[in-house]
Amino acid sequence: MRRLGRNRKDNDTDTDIDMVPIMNMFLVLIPFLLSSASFFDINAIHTSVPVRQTNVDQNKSAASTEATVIPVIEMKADRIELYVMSEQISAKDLTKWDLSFTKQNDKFPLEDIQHYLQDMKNIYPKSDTILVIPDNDILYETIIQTMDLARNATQNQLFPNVVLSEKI
Amino acid sequence: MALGQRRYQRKSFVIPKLQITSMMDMFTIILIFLLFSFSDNPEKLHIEKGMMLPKSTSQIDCNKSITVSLSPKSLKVGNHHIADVSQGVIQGFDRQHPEKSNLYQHLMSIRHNFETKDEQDNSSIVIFCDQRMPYQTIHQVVKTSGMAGFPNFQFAVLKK
Repeated sequence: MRRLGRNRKDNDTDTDIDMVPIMNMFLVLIPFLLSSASFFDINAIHTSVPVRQTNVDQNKSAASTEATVIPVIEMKADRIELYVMSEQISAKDLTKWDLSFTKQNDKFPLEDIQHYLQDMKNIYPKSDTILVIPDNDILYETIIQTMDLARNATQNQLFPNVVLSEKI
Repeated sequence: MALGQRRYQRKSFVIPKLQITSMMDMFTIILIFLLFSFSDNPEKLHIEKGMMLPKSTSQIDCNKSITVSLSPKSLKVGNHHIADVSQGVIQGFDRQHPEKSNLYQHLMSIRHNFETKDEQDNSSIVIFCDQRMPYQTIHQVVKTSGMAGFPNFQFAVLKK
């Protein structure tokens, strides 16, 4: 009986896990991950400036059976004017798309503009280019917001090719 | 007798154990956080002090080749200082003759280097621009870059 008790006492020794190798591993991993961590996620918006159209491009667009349009967003200090350019649609049909959105509470009604662009995309699904013409005083942040809404709707892609220009 | 009692009461010296459980917890949390923010292509960007990039929903990665930085105080191409900027105006930039500007000259020299090295040049310029800059200033940079043979751009933005 006494011997049994002594044996149990001997087996109850501390069984601590040796944490030193794990700590060593952490000390190696953490500096490595710190050096390769990215705390700022920087993305990009692709854009371009208008370039002279070549003859090949003109033939290509003429050969296309489905009509395409280029919506134009003119950003003024107090409003946004929208209209459409196309060589395949009559002037009468193009003027239907002329619209102006005035600033409300010092903000552009971006959601309304997005609905307008969504309608246009539904009718002319082949269209993929949009022209943005901001006034000189329009801030870069506002331009980026407008480009965002021109490229993407909540459900699908609208006009992924955004071209920045100035009023001629 | 008293001495004997005192010797009996003295406890044997026990090596103090370091409690590393909490430290392990901390390390585990840090490790998980760093694993989530791990990037296989970490960008080494030198963004001007005080520059505020706009936020966007864009998901496209930034292909860094030629960077143009337009902050409220200076205009730089890479690390090369091109001109001072004051109140949204690039100093010494003639709007009527952009081809005479330092920016145009510098971009042309980069373009010349591309041509001499016979590199396939599909590169676009990445523009880091402060969100408070007016379009007039941005357009000067964009137009000059287009004239120098770089018509495609990427606007660097922070992920929303």
